[in-house]
Amino acid sequence: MDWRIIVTLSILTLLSLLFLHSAGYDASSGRTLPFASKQLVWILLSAGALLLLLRVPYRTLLEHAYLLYWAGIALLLIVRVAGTELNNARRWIDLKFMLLQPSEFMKVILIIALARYIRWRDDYKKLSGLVRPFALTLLPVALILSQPDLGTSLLFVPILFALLFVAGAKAKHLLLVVLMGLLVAPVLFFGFLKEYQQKRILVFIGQETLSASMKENEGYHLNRSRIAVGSGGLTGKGYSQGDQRVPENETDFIFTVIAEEWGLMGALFTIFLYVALLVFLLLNAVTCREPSGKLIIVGVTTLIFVQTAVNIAMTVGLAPITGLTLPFLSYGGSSLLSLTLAIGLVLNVRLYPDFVFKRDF
Amino acid sequence: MFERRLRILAMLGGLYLLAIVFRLFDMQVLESERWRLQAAELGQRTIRLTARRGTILDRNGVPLAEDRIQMNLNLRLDRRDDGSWICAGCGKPLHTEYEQPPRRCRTCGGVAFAPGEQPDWSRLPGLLGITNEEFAERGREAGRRYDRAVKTEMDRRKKNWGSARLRDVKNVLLPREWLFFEDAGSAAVKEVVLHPDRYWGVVVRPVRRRRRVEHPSIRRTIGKLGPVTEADARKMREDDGLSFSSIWRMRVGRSGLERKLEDRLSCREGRKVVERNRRGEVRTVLSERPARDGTDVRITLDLRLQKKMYEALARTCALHQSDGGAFVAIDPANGEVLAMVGFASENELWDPAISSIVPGSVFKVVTAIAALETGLIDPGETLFCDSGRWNGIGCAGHAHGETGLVSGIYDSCNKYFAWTATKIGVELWSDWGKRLGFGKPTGIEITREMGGLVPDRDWKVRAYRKNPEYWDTDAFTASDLRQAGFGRGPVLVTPVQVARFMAIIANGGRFVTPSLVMGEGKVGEVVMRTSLPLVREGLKATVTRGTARGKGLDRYRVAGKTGTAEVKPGKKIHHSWFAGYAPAENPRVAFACLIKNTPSYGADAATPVILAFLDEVFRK
Ligand SMILES: [Zn+2]
Ligand SMILES: [Zn+2]
Repeated sequence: MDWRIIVTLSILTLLSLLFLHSAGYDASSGRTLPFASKQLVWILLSAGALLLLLRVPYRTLLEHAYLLYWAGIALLLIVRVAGTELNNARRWIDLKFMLLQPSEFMKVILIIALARYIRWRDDYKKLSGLVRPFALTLLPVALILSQPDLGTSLLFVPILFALLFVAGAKAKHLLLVVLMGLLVAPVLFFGFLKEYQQKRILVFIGQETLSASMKENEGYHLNRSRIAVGSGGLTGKGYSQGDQRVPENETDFIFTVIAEEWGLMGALFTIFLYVALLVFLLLNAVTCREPSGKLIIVGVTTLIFVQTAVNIAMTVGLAPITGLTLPFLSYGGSSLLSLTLAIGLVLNVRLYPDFVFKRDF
Repeated sequence: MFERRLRILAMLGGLYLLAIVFRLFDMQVLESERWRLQAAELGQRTIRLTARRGTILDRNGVPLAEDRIQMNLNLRLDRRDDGSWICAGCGKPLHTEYEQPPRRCRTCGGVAFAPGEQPDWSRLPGLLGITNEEFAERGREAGRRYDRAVKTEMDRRKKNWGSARLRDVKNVLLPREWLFFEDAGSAAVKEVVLHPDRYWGVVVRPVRRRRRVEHPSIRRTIGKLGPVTEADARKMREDDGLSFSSIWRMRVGRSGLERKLEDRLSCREGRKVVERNRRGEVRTVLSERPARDGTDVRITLDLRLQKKMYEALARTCALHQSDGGAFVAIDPANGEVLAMVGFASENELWDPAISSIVPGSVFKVVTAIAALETGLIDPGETLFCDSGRWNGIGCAGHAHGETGLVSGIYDSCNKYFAWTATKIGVELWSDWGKRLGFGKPTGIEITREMGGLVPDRDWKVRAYRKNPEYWDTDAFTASDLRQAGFGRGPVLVTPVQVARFMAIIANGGRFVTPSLVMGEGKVGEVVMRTSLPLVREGLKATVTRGTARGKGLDRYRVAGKTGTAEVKPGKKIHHSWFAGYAPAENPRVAFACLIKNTPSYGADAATPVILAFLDEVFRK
């Protein structure tokens, strides 16, 4: 068991409860919404799920990787047809006791599926060999994009790139794909993105010159978030003494609350925790002797890194607002559960070190 | 290969995180001041500090008009039919694509609900004491008012600009809250406040309301509040530095005591600009102007007595086929108005107690005082009154025989006082009328008090210019003076003036300035000297053997003067008066009673009212 990871995770969890409590105040009713206590239930549930996952050797998961993959795709299709619609988006399955968000679990499943795929081949070193792993990735991306959920769908591509890159795919091939992606970007922008998504990106590009009306509408989150972070200063306004109300500050903008109330010190402390977690994860990838295990750890690390970096960047105006939660800090059950399972995969790989496949990189 | 590439990825990631750290440093340290200013601007709130207008209390401390906090229930309304989320806090729609419940409003931070999530209001009708049907109807009515407002605003915008967006109208121009239930009981308010989750969309709003006693005996005297006039608003802005928005919200006294005592009663709302944290706790107070409450004022009227007198007056008017009347009583020792009621069966707004009317024989006392004070008659000199007319003046068929000043008063001889007035002359006569307080308002704290009229030469000139057909000449003729001398003709008085006049006689001839405010009535310099004993004697004899004998007024040893003013010559309709004081030797109250347009004479009509008053005052 890698106790470094467990300890870092625990500190992040405590930080989460602390600031969910601070963010939970509802001005219209004068109550504190029970984000922290509800999240505690999810933390316990996730911990339980993690322990369960550790009982299943990751070899078994790899063996059933494609089954898991297609099950995930099936759930995404069910969401398309019979999902619960909230706020003009259809991305949940109502399980009565919770709203299950299959896209969250698809992130973890895809890591397993790609690890399984890449592990047994080396044709991805040729350009043509990239087609199938890309297809494997873009199918769920397309389904999630149509929900619509831009943020989550954009997580999948970096994972694929990272896995291919560390597995030894030709860098120039990957660069070529990136170039192609840049070429079709305008088509995607105008053809597939909804109006409000386009506006988000435009607002991001022109964030220094927003008009007053933009600040109150499309640019509202960005503007308020930057004000909250900036006014926090070096040491912050004090715990629960923040005065800025950024909407969704218990989910996507929890970092804003920390940066406002604990200032730069708190922000750096939080980033430090993530860096520590990522480093501990990567150290596992280095010490791991088994290629698919290495791939799984790299996938999980990439997932957590991208989600963290994009979320924090979004609160300070370095990335467009896409609706990615901050791992382990944001309020929300599905996200916490799936990321805990992802960590569970890493611990699993470490737990079964003797499990060595025939071939190595 | 693997580890080299991993290192490359880690470096790339590290660079990105470094960029974020630099950005954070830039925003939170280098540019922090700029964001702090913006945050301060957004975090600033202006809190209104409400103030209490002074209470008007009656003589015994019973509140007649006071500020009360009343709890209104408002509904937050926004009808959206596209199924999107709306905020329960401010009614704004939410259009974010990714949030999970509970949704937070980006404008006010309130929790939002979807139209499908109906809050549970089922306990509310019972607590408000209305049926479910009424409750639903009130909700629909609030909705209809909202819809009408939307439509009106849309129409207006379309007319002015050719187009209108429903969203703009709903979000920007309309009030978010609509009155649903006024003055809700504490049980209902408690329920709503304690269960915000059950009553999303219901808001408790404390509202300050002026409550006054609505009894007709005192309603008009108290008066009412109204919006500030434009001139007042400008003055307040200059004097107190108030913003127009808070001035327009104010209500000031527009009539009665509320207006006359405005300086004392009025209050000023305060203002506090603060910075608050997200929890709504005040972090810093940026500026504060404290609220100023108004002062309470105790008045001289007694609510219980007012009601009694109003009933007596109304009963008497009905009995004597009168359309209205008035009763005013004053404490001669200090000018306090003890009772002041006016009753008018047809015109609710018109108050007979402060309106000008013909005094009839009551005014003979003024002529008597003028004659004695100027020394222009010898009180022993008499005029023989036979049943015939003297210069066209009769005594309603009576023959009073040899009439002197005292018997002229108690027998109410018209001829004697017409004759006396001609001896005094118009200048001195009208001068004495004015000295005794007639011809201008008494100045009691009530609006629309009339001044009456004591005719003089100037008046006649003006009257002739105005209406030359009616008058033969613009000179004040001897005939005019004879008529005025016994209280007919153009003489006009108000019951308050007559009561004050009696108070002057009652307290030994010192001038009285009546007041409705405790301790503010004044007794001034002596105006009657030589005339006092004889006038008092005449007034006392009126009750014992004169025109008011045998009416039961002697039970309280009343002294006074009757009056019967013809409304139109020949018609048997009069304004009947009785004015006086009691007890005659040591007066404690002075009063005047008027019964208008009655076929009954003088004391016949007025006596029951006066007895009702004296019963109340002296029974104790
Ligand atoms: Zn709101
Ligand atoms: Zn006579």
